[in-house]
Amino acid sequence: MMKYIYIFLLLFFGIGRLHAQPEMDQKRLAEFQKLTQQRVNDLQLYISLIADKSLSIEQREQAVELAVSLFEKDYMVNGKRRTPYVQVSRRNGTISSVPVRIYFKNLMNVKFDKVEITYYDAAVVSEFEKGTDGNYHATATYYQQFKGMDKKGNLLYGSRDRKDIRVTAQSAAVYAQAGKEDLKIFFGDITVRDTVPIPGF
Amino acid sequence: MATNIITLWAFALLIPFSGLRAQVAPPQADTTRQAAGSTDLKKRAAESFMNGQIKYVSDFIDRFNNAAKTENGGENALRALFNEDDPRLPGTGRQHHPYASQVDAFVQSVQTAKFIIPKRGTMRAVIGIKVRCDGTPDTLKLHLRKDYTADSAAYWHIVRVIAPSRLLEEKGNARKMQTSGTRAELPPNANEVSFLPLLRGLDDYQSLAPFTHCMECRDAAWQKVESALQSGHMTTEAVISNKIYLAAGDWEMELGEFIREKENSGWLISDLVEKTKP
Repeated sequence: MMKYIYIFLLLFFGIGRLHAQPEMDQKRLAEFQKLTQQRVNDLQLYISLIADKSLSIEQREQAVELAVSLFEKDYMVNGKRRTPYVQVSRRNGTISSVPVRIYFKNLMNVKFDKVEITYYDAAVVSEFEKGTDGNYHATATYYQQFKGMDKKGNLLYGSRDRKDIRVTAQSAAVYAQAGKEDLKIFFGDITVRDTVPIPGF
Repeated sequence: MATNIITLWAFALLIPFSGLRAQVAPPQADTTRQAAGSTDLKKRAAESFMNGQIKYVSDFIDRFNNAAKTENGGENALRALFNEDDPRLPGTGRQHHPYASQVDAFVQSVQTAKFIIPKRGTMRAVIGIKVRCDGTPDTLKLHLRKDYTADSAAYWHIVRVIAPSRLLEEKGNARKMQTSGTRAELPPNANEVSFLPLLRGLDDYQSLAPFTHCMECRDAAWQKVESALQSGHMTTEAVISNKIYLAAGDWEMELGEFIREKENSGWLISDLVEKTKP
């Protein structure tokens, strides 16, 4: 008897959480724009740590995991594990698309002895727009300068990139009593495009 | 028994609050961050091109509408929305091109009629996807449209397919295939990341069907591409072009993305079509 009551209570309150997602007001969405900017800041920090060759492999691998945790979870389609993509387009015409985890792992294993990554006070987030999945979608944009050097500090490679990240604010819970909704921010696909030439490169 | 039921009710009442974690909580404790000895990221001041760049189509619409409403300086603001490196526009050492007269006529008509582009108006896109047909590189062109639902949501979907030339050259009808009933809708901002969600989706499903909602859009070219995707003869690699089309009065603007280090960059007008003229 107790078992059935227990299952009933779990189902009753559990399903209650799946209620339709109410419309978010502009003020709340503006708050989520700010939150997205904080997440972009976190991502930039993790990328700097991944590329920092003065750190231990363990620390850099942990930074990879932290960076990946900011992205949408992997999903299964046709029995294959799928994940957001990073598409890198260079001015010389080369374009490559790789899963986010591979992208971060590649950054960890770049051949340069020293890597210097610089960010700019220019990160912006577009307005959130509702999708048919009930989630809210935006795009975050930031600029990054990358320098790869040899042991003596000679510049071997440099680029300045614009990165656009698809952002999804997924409804995590609905508090009907309080009339509030909480959203969780996840990053999705990224486009990386270089804005070269950089003077001196 | 009664005590047990009260305990269970109390437990069940707590369930809705389990979602309170994560977003409202401070960021994950990060030992790596502490080990690195830096908790703040040092950033340089933004360069002027970074602030001037038109980053999103919604930004373009805002700038266009502001320019259309402005009495003084509106014309210059409108002209700044064009790709200034377009060799058809007036410039040092450039010969006059009929496109320049078309741009003049467009600017004049916008200023006279004060066209406003609605943020949720008609928007379409044409993208080029680099594909391999039996190992040979080629380009697949897809026409997409952004639609809106009654509950204010928006999504992109495929409305037309232009098959790679190699597939069109193949004789015979497309192989009969089974298309799944799966329906997938691309997010409203897919255009801002070169439609990567679509590229990923084509790879996931090996089919155009989940992203093509209109049955009349499934013409012969669509069938050929669908057949090649399903059989594995055609694989997608990267999105190589991304154009957005917006209507303004009797005109249609083609927007291209110009990523470069100057203020005249980002989403800019790359072409114009006057609808009343063929």
